[in-house]
Amino acid sequence: MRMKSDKVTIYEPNHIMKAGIRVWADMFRELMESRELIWRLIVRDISARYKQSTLGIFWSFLTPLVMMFVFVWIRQRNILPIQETTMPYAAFVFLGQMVWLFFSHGLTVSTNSLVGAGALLTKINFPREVLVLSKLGETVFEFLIRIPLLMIIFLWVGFAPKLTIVLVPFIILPLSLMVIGLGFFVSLFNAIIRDVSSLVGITMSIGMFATPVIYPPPKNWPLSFWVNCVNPVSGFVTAVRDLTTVGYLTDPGSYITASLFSLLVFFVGWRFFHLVEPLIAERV
Amino acid sequence: MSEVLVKVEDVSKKFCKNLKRTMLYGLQEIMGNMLGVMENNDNLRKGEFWAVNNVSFELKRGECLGLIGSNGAGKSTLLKMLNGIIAPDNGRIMIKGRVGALIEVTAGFHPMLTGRENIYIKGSILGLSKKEIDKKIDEIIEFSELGDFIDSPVKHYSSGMNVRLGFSIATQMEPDVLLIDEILAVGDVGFKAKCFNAIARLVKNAAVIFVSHSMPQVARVCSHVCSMNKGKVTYLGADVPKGIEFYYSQFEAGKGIVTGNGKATIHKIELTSNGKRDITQINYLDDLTVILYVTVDPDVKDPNIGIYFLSRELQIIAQCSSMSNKIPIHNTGDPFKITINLPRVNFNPGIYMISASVTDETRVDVLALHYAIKELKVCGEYIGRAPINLAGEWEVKQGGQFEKYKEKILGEN
Repeated sequence: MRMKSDKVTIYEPNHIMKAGIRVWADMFRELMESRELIWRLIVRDISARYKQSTLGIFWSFLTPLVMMFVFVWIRQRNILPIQETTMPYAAFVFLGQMVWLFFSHGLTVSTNSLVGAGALLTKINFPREVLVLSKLGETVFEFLIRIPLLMIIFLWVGFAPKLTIVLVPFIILPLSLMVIGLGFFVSLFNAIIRDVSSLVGITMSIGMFATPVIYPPPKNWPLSFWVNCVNPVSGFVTAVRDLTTVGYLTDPGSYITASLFSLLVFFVGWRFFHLVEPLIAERV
Repeated sequence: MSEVLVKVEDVSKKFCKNLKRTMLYGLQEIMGNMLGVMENNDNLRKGEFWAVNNVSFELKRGECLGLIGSNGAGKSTLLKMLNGIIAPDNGRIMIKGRVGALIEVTAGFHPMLTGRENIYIKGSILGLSKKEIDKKIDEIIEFSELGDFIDSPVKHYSSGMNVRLGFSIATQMEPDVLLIDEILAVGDVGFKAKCFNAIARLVKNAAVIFVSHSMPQVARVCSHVCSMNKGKVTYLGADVPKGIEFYYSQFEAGKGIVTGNGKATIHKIELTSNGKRDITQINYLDDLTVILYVTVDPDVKDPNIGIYFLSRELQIIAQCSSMSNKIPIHNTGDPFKITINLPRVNFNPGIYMISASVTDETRVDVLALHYAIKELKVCGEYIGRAPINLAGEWEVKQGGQFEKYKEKILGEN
């Protein structure tokens, strides 16, 4: 009955640093061992979130829908001069919103993942990475339940997406890595200095307008280089639209750059998080 | 079963008193860690102090170490380091096997989810797989005595129910090393007894570190004791009563409290024994005489005068009052000299406090109370853990009658 475990644990100052290259193997092993815990926390967050609200998942539809109607109206009235888009504007905005919300919501919730864990963090020993990782689950869930609504909008505006739309997960995957990677950084800094969470909030509000969400990638703006190439989310938003409308990537360069950037952010963030992990409990 | 499961070598930890400075040091350490700069941890920076200072010990399976000390002695910090929640600044901790912790057992419960859902979540956090939880869930629910409540949201639980659930999960861990922090202060009497039994079962197969402020509990559970003061170890060893004595010696003997509504005055309390006056200590089973000099307001016709003995935990362990002894006292307002003879005082050797009180006949109005005013040391060898050590008159026989009883006992079962 009794599970014997001969695992020897050693706690020393700066012990992680000494491990060198082996630390990556440890990190992967730890991640694999906590799969179940991550899954459980995802289920917990999702079910707890919808339990006490009567409208439940409809809130996830509401945000992008309202935004869609607002911007369709703004464009019709010519309040903002928005160029011609490759698909009907309503669908264009909704799809853009889906990708943008994936990024912004994902980053916002992971910012507070450590601070929100409370006593869990200061009393119980478990890999803290799972707190950041599991927060992505909620974001993915929201993205998934918006897909049927997107289909309905396509039908409504009479737009037939290209079959390549099934390749969208290949765009969302690197985007997820970027969200987690950035989440590792911001959640840690937020644990030490709470200002970080306000900063992230403001950045996300401004960020939407600095990303081709409600307008197509700009060609001749003074800031178009910044919006198209420097903003790492732009590449993903454009790539998702490309797969839906034309069936190939119109700007593969920015997609590849953004993906490589995501990978880098993810691994550096993860390593950083793992390094600093032992300091979290006493600083929160 | 005697392998060393916990080995703590020269472990130290420093903390900073200032919040802003803590943030600064935190950022410094993060940067240091990133760049791979080894910091010199031996020195204190500005505003820092040693929360745990050079602590070393070893613990084998089946042993239970009681970690005692005043508030802020570093017990909980040490426990957190053993649990791997914070890293030591110096030294090395080696732990063999699975660690279980009865610390803040309700941490991680989600108020919106049911008890059953929370069992799975908490179990996962504690490192159990779904299969293991599936196997244990019935036992957990049964132990918690929550019944139908197990399927209602945890936010509808009382705090006691919360703790029951948390405790039930934690005790299913079957750890090799068990950390317990002041857990037994909660729950009703029935559940407390159950917890003690559960812990006793875990203790047999684990190395246990038990933090408590309750010395009777420590004396009851622990095989070893480590007394700490301001981060340093003041006593470490298997002589539990001695370790507890180190703990008590950290506190100044209280001056006692004198209160009452002023209608009576206790002028003097004197202890005598075997003809010696004004004594502070007696031997086990010596006679003790307490002499009280008291004046009571003539309004109070039938005062009740009594003395009480308190343990070092300030729990009343014995009383002797005129009313309980059915001694009528009629007051005219003149001063009393009251002599109380207590033959063969059977307190377990140790230090006790004496209180004296005067109340009216209803025992509601306290006319005068001298609380913990005198200290009495009972000398001798401390054996066992109860405050009273009854001096029984024994008769021991062997053989003969035994067969008859054996049948009877077996028959009853």
